[in-house]
Amino acid sequence: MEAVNTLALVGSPNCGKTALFNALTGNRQKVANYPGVTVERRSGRIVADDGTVTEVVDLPGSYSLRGRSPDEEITRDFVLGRFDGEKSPDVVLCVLDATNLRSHLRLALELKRYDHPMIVVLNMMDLAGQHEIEIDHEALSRQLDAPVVPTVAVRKSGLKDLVAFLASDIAEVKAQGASGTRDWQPLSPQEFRQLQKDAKRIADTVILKEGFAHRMTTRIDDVVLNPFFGLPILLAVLFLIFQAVFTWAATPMDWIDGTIVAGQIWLDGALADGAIKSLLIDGILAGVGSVIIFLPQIIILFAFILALEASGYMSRAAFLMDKLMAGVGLNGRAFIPLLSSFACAIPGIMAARTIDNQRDRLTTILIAPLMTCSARLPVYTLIIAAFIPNTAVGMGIGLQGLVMFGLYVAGIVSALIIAAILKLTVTKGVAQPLILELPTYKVPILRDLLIGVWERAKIFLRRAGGIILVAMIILWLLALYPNAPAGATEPDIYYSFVGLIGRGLEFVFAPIGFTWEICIALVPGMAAREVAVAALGTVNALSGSEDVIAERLVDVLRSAWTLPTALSFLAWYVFAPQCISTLAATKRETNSWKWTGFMFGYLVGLAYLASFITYRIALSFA
Amino acid sequence: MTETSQIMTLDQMKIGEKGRITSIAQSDSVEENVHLAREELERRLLEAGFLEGEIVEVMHHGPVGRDPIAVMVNDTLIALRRSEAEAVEIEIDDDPGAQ
Repeated sequence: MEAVNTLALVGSPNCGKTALFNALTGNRQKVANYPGVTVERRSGRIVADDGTVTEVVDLPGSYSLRGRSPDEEITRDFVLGRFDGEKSPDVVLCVLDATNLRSHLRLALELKRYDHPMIVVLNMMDLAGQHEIEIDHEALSRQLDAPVVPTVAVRKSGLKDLVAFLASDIAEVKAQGASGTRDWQPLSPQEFRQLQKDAKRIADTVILKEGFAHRMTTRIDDVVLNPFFGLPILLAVLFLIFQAVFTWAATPMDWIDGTIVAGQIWLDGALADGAIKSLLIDGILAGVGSVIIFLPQIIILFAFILALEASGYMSRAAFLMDKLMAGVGLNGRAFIPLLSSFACAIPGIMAARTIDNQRDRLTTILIAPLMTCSARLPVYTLIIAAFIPNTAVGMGIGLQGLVMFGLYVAGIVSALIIAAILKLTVTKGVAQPLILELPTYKVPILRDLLIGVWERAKIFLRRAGGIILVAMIILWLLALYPNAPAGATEPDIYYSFVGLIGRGLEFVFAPIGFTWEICIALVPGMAAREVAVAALGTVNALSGSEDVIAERLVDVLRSAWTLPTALSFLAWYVFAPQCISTLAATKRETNSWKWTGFMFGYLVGLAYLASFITYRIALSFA
Repeated sequence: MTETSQIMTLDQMKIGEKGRITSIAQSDSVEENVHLAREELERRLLEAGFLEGEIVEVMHHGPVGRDPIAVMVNDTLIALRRSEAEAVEIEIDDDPGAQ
């Protein structure tokens, strides 16, 4: 059914706008892209008792209509009807945090200048009550000359007044002003000052009692922002997250693996031998399965990241890390995208949208693939198990674990060095300041976390079902044809197109110690890093489930590879852009083939250099 | 401005000290001190809630070089670097009873 009205949700970051949106629309949500840009367009529907449908669009959080980041520009252009391909909203819902009215009121006044039909939502009234804040919302309504509706977005019942108001009064609100396209000019600092003064004057008259919204937050901050304990606490939090990602995810990952293997066995028995069977088992199930297996890790990592963000701690992390990141020309805001990149570079690259400065955003995107993503783990695990002795180096620390840790550190350190070099050269520009709100702490809302995690999981699964599926089918074809000649002595793949490409590459990779088998594995490994493990199995004429392959591969590789080759291969994987999806995401986000090509080029160059040095040093010791 | 007040910039304030903002990104020295164009810095500080006449209090310091700082202004906690805080001029009343 066609929506009768379109509502636009506008508010400052941290005003509880997304919680309100989730509570209003529940699971009737849709995430798409705005025409021509990559910013997500989140919309949902409210269906009234009489069947009337209202579309609600959740716009990116904005402190003003100035449009400093791509996200904020969307908000401004959508509200003012300046967006090509989007009609101007019928009514703007301006969401204000009742516990932080002083700083949020200005946005309502700025919107008011455009005389657009507007309803002011006074959100988080429950918290305001707990903090003994009293607001005269009728006086606020008179001052703003717009209806003001108090809400509690964390509870569905807290929206009753709003839903009722929308049902009964929306036509009247629409008649109060005119929607449509409007001109926009940036406010001068003097106009902005006046707006701020007006907001202050109104706040002084409508806030009857100031309360103590910051009391608890200040107490927590005295601990977590403590100059001595702040960074150790942050490190402990990060350590806990990674521990959880690896230990909690192990069981569900086994389930997924078991299901895929069971599917392969079932297909093996149900189908006659032939190309279709091989495609389903070796191409699709093995290939796509090797990606889907990481879903539990992604879900756990994002649950933590979203919870930290919702609680308000993420801004503190940016505060604590800012000085260190400033050392390489980035600011604290880049911390969150880079943290996400440890699960997968793609959500990290997308999260860089919150960085308002284009150059800083580009630098962050360019170094995101250097964070050790979860797809590298199967490769690291395999090589470490095969070549690094399982001995202790003392204090209960094993050598294998130490090497794994070293690979993570190598990624982080090189990312910082690269960032510093980029900021001095290709992304040169004025240093960007950090001016960041540290919101009051809040208990994350479970529903919002679930919706957020589900959204990320869908993006990840779409990738597995899309580009990786296609890549696996193509690679399967290239690996199967042409068939091996009669009386062939090498495995079938040696004679296929993949084999031809791999052997062709051997000439390039011989100086860094790669054999033709490794070169062949690198080709399918372009689709996704972890696919290389399965490919190494195929090259070495193994078949079976991934676990079995990995187990047997340990023995095979131990006899086939030298230690310098293995170390060189590890060094290659720290840097090499072995992931088509990351390059696709970079192209989408930067909208530039030049920068995507640059990323690919510098990563390949770095990988080759690192492998070469590693190989030569290892050779001289061998 | 009373006789007992002293003028400084936001980055010079101690933790727990309160002061009144007298100017934002106006002094001549701003141009040399910070990386942004003066008017852009002025806009960003205004957007964060800094306004002449408002009371600010420094709440926390960063762990490295006591940078950035977190200040309470307009009922909001704002983190900013010392290089930007330098652009905010403050008047502190020496008379402890005045606060």
